[in-house]
Amino acid sequence: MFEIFRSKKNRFKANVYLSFRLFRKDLLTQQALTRLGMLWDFMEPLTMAGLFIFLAQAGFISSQGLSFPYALYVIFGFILYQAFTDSVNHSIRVISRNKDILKYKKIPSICLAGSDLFRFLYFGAVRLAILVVALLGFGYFNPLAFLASIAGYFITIVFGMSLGLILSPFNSIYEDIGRLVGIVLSIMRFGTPVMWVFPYEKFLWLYLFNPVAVLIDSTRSMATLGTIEFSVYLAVLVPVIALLSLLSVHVLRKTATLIVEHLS
Amino acid sequence: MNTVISASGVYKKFKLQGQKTRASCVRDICRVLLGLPPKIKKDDNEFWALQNISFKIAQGESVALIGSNGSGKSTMLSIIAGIMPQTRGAVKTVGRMQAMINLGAGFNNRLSGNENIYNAAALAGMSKKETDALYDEIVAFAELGVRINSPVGSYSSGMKARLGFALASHLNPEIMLIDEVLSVGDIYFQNKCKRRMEELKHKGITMIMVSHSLGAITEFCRRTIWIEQSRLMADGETKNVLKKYQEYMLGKTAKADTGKAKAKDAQVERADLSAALEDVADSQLSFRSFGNLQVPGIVLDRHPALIKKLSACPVQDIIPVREKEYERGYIYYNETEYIERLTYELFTPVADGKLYAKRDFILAVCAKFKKTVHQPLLASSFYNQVTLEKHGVINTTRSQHRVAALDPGWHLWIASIPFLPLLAGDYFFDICIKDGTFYLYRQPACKLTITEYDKTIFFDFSVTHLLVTLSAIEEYNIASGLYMEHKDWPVYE
Repeated sequence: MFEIFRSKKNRFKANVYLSFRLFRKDLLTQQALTRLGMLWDFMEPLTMAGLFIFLAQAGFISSQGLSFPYALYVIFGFILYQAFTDSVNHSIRVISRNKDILKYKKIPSICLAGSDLFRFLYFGAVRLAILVVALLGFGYFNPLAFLASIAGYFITIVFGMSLGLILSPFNSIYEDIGRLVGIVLSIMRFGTPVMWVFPYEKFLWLYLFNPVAVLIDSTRSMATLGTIEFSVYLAVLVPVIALLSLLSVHVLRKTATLIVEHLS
Repeated sequence: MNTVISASGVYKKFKLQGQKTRASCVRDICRVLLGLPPKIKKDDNEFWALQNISFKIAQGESVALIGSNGSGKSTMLSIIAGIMPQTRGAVKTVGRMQAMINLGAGFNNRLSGNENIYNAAALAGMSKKETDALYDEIVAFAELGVRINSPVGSYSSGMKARLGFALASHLNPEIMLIDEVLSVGDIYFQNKCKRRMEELKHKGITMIMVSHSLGAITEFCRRTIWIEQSRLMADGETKNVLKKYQEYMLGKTAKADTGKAKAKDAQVERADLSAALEDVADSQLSFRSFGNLQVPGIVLDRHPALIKKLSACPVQDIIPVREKEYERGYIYYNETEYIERLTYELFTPVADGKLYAKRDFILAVCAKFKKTVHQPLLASSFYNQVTLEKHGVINTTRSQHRVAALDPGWHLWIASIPFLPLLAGDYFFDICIKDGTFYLYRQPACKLTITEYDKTIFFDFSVTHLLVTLSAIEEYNIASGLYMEHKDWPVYE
C-alpha cells in the first residue's frame, strides 16, 4: 500500500516537474527574440483600458450605475478577459506546439495541460499584481475580498483552458478552428462586461448564454465591493467547469497519439 | 530472465502518404472519444505496415530489428516506444525506456544546450536533482565545452547529434530503442557511440536496435528479428537470421541485376587452409619471431613448423604510438601497463604487397601481458583505407570458444578468414585487444591491396558486397572458433 502511494507520489512529482519544464521551454522560446519579454502580454489590455478610460472621461462611454470607478471596472474587465482568451488560445494549440516532442517521445498528456496551467498561474501572478496596484490606487483594496476574487480568476482560466484543450485535437487537424475561435472571442468581448457597463435587468439573457460574463462580473464585484453576483448561476457553473476540465484532460489523453500519428 | 518487452499479434495500418484525410482522422478521434476503436475498413489507399508480429524480449537482451526499407522496423520501434498506437494486438513494456529514434529530435533551437538537457531529462522522467548529478557527464560526453550555453540552433548537425546521443545514453534507461543513430556523425563519433553502447550493454540494459549496418548488428546483438513486407520472417540467433536475410537480399539483387552471368562465373572453388599454408611455406614473407614462447599447447603442438618460424628472430618491442590519438576518427590505444610486447604475422600469400581476394586469410597475433586480462576480447577488423568503413571483423566474443582470462605472459592468437570475401580495393586491418569494455590495444596492423581473383569478382554489386563479407566472416567465427582450439587446423610440417 505504502509502495503504491510512494510510486504515485513520485509519478506526480515527475509529472509536475515535466509540466514545469514544458512551460519554461515555451516561455523562454516565446521570449527568446524579444527585448520586453512578457511585457508585451500586458501591453494590449492596459493600453485598451487606458483608451476606454479616456473615452469615458470624454463622455463617449457611459459609466452610470457603477458603484466603483469606471477605470477599475475597465482594468478588471480587460485583464480578466485577456486571461480567459489567453487560456483558450494557448491551450487550443497545445498539441501542435509540442508536436516535435510528441513525434519522438511518449509523454503523459496531463503534462501538456499542466504546462499550460503553469503558464496561466505565472502570468496570473503578474495580472493579479496589476489588479492589486489598481485597487490600491483607487482605494478599494480589501485583502480578504481580493483573496476570494482569486478563486474567480482561477475558475475563469480553468474554463478557458478546458475549452481550449477539448478543441486542441481538432485544431491540430484543422487550424481553421483556432482561427475561428480567435474571431469569436474578439467578437464576444463586445458582448461581455469588459468595457461596457451592462445593466443586469436589460441584459440578463446575455449573462445566461455567456458564462464568461458571469465569471468576470462576479470576480470584479468580489474584488472591488466584496459582494458576489449571480451566486445561483455560479453554484451551477463551477461544477460544470470542473466536469469540463476533467473531460478536457480525457480528450487530450485519448487523442494525443492519434494526432501525433496524423502529424507524422 | 524477466520479459521486459512483449508484442503479441501486432498489426499496424497506415494510409498511403498524403491519403490520410483529415476527415478520417477527425472520425477516428470521435470514435476513440466514444470508446470505440478506430474504424478498420478495406481501402485501396491503406496498407498494413505490420501484420501479426509477436515476440518477447528478456531483460538485458540486445536485439536487432532488420529488414529492407519500408519493411516496418521503425514502425515497430515507434509502437514499442508508445509514440504510435498499434491498430490491433498488444505491446507491453516494463521499465524506463529511452528512444533514440532521431537524435536531436525535440531540441528547441532557440534554447541553449543546457536548457535542452534539462528538458530532455524531464521528458525522460528524471527529476532536477537526478539531472544535476548527470549533467557534467553528459556535457563531457557531448564535448560541447562552452558552446553548451549557446542556442542549439547555432550548433552543427554533428554537435546536435553528439548532444542527442549523450543525453539519450546517459539518462539511465532500462530499455533503449535505437533507430539507425549509430550511422550519424563522423567516424570518431560513431566509435565513441559504439563504446558507450557496449558499456550500456554490459550494464544489462535491454536494447532494440534498428540498423542496416550488419557490422553494428553483429557487434551488438546476439538475437535478430527480421521483418520483411510487414511480416515477421525470422527471429533467432543473429548469425542464422543474417544468413537468411542476406540470401534473401542477394536473391532480390540478383533478380534485379541483369548481369547474372558474372556471378555464375565467379563460383571459384575455395582454397582450403592446407593449401594456403603450403603457400605460406613457399612464400617470401619475412617472419618476425616471438622469442621464447610459452603459449598454451594445442596450437603449438600441432604446428611445430609454424612455431619454428615464429621463434627464429628476437621479439620486436611494441611500437610506441601516440596515446589515444585520433586520426581521421580511428582511435588508437596502447595500454603499456597491460601489454608489454605485441607482434603479429600474416600467413597469407602476398605478392608485391597485394593480396588475392577469395584466398584464406590467416593472422597470428602474439602478445605478452603484464597483468591478467580478465575478460579478454581479441579482434581484427578490416577497414577501407580511404573511408575507414568497416568491412568485417574476426572477433573472439562471437566464437563458440570464448576466451577465458589470460594470465600474465605470452599468448598467441591465430585467426583466419577463409576465402577472404572482400572486393578489390585498398584496405587495412587492425589488431584490437580489450578487457571487457576497456581497450588495451588498438592499432592498424597492415595495409593490403586486394586484387581480383582470376579477374573476376564474386559479387560486383556494391550494395550486397558488405553483407556477404560479414556473413562469411561471421559464419566462420561461429563454425570454427578462432582461438587456440582450432581443431581443424592442418598439421604443417
